[in-house]
Amino acid sequence: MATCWGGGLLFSFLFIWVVCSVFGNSITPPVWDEDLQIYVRKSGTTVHWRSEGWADIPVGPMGLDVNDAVLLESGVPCFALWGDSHVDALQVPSDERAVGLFNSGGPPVKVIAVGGGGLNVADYYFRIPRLQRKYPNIVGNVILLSGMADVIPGKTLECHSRFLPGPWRFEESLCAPTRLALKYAPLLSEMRLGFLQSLYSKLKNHDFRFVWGPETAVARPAVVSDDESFSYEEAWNYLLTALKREGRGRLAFIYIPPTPQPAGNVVRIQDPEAPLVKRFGVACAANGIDFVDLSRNFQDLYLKQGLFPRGFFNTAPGRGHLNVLGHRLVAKGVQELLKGSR
Amino acid sequence: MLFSSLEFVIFFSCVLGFLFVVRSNPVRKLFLLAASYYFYAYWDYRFLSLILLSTATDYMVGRALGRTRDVVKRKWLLAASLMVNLGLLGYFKYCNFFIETAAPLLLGLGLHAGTLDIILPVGISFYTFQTLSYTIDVYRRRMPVCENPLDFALFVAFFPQLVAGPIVRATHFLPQLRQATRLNSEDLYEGFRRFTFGLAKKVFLADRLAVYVDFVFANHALVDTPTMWLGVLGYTLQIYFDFSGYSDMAIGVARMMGYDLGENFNFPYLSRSFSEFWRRWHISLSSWVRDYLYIPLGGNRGTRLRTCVNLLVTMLVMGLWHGAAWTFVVWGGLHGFGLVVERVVLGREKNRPSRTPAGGLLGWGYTMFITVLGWVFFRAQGLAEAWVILEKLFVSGGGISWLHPFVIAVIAATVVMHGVRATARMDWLFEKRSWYTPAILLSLLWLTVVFYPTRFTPFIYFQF
Repeated sequence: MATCWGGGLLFSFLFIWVVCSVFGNSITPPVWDEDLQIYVRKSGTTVHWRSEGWADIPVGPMGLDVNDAVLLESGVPCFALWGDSHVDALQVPSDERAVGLFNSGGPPVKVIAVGGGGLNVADYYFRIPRLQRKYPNIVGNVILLSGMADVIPGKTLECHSRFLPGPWRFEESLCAPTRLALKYAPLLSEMRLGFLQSLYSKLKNHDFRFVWGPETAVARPAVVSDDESFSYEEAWNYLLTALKREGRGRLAFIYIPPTPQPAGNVVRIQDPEAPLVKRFGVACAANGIDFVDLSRNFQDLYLKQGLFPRGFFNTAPGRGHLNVLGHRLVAKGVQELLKGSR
Repeated sequence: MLFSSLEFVIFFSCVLGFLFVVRSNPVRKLFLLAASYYFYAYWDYRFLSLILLSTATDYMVGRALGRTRDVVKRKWLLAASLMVNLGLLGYFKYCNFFIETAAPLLLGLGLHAGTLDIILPVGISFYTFQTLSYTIDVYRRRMPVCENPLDFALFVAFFPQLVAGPIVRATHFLPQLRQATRLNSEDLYEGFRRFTFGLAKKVFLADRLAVYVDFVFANHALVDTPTMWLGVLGYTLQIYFDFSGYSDMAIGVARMMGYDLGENFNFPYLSRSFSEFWRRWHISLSSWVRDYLYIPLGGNRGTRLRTCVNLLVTMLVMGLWHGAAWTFVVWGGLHGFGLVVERVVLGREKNRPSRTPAGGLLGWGYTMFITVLGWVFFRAQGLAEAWVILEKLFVSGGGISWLHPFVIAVIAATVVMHGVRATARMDWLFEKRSWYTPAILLSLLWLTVVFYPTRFTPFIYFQF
């Protein structure tokens, strides 16, 4: 019987390894990038993304999608599209991302994507000049905003830089991967054993409770600072001036709303942040910065075609990250922005 | 405490460790009782008082029944037990339902009826029925009185079956407490096998189906007809995997400690009639309802009409047991209707001619069709919602389309596995002691831990 269990253990490990290789997200080892001064995905690896959408993203230098990295290093004039995980876009194949769709039209000035989960304006403030210093062919920067929280001062997000009030300033913040991650991630990535890492982090992050109930919820600290003794316009003037100063060439913003989204038998169309978006657009105009609000395009996609810019075959429609339809709208927004037609 | 939580794994390892070391039966039982109370208090210690009250009442009523032969006195004692147990159940589970139902009537009389802020104690329906079965059996002189308070308290609160069954009969469980069962490899193996199957059903299948089903039911007015069908079929499997998974885990946990809880499910979706369905689905409840409600009502001993009424009443009560809402009553009514139609068309089950393959398929189709439609009422938040869903199912309409490949794959795999079992009577996956069983169990365990959902999904039957 012991032999059966031994053989069973071996078989089961092979089984889960095959299952996770096909259906599980992979991990990519982090490496330090001297130019950007951050940890990035290791060049030469591939990100296999399965939990939302289905894509395999080849990683190039500086953790960029290899297609973007090739463009950047070829010296072709480029715009950098900055953003959070919506720009990182692990959920869609490279050529279906907004930049891939835009570049497929053969424009004289290309666009490359520089994104990462949870990035905000303070992160861009530090990273834009570093990237442009290394690549003189970056002729401008476009920032994709997936929520207004990214431009509101006072946020303290772990492992991300901060835009803070009183006095207005940016503070750089970064989390280094653990020694364990730096040591073992390359091996786990190479052998497609990402599931062991996910298992380890589940165990590590589990909040054990052994006292009897009822369980009382502990309020989490607010993400947005309570200190709102400032005007947004004042904050944004500082922010936009600083970004313009630090970056070279043209600066522009694109806003994508969280809507349309099914929410209990109704499709929520109206973006609750719309008034703030409008005010930010006015602030951009006052500072000579282009601002494209894609809210109408997103709404029309649902209202005219019944389609959602977010959601995949394996996630709920209208929720999560941008799908290829959403990326198409962003690509169109970039196109119009760079044509100067909007 | 959830069977699928890490806390439970640690808790249960400690319990097993104690049982392994300690051989004295009274000490083991005392420890198991304390562990069971802790298991329940982990959810909310305040409601432990209800279990204690129910335990004390039925223990004392049982002893009093054992001491008296006076028929009237015995009836009063039984009535006292029924009043306490059903009173608690009625207050905590049905009070708001009755207030809401009576509200329009009271409003007509100029009275305003507001609902009460009542928390439904986890497992109250299960342990109430369990203790009641003991008292009724003692009253009927079908079992001896339990003199040992420790045994009785453990019978009521035994943690594997405390919050969601199976509803264990005293006649089945109390004799097992008389002597200590030493932990042995056979029980540990079989218990682990059952637990692992249950865990995989719950965590890997039911919880992942739930993500899709929750979206479809929450947005039923928006989705298109194929999506609605997939959502309803997804729920049909979700509730089966969720509840039978819990039962498997409970049976497995008890078995590892050397106790037998009986069976609760036996491939219910293979049933070719409603009577067969209820012999395969939630067996401990259906047999309880048969023995303590249907047969006392007269069962099938009267006229055909009387039998049909008994069937309907029994199934309506069964519906109401599941939840205090009209949707559950309709669900029970649908099953009652199915049973009545069978009785009227085919007569008594034992007199029915043996089935041809075509007849079996027809019976299966009929049973499954009404069962699946019944789940719509079971899952819907109200009758109006259920109606909209039914309309969506049968009147083709556009809307959001989302056909999740995982849900389709699970449905297809379940159909194939059931088909293989029904036709070839193959049990290879569930083989108890095959050379490949460890490989299957450990693979299921890997699937469960690796794909453990990040969001909390309670067991569906906890709410009952």
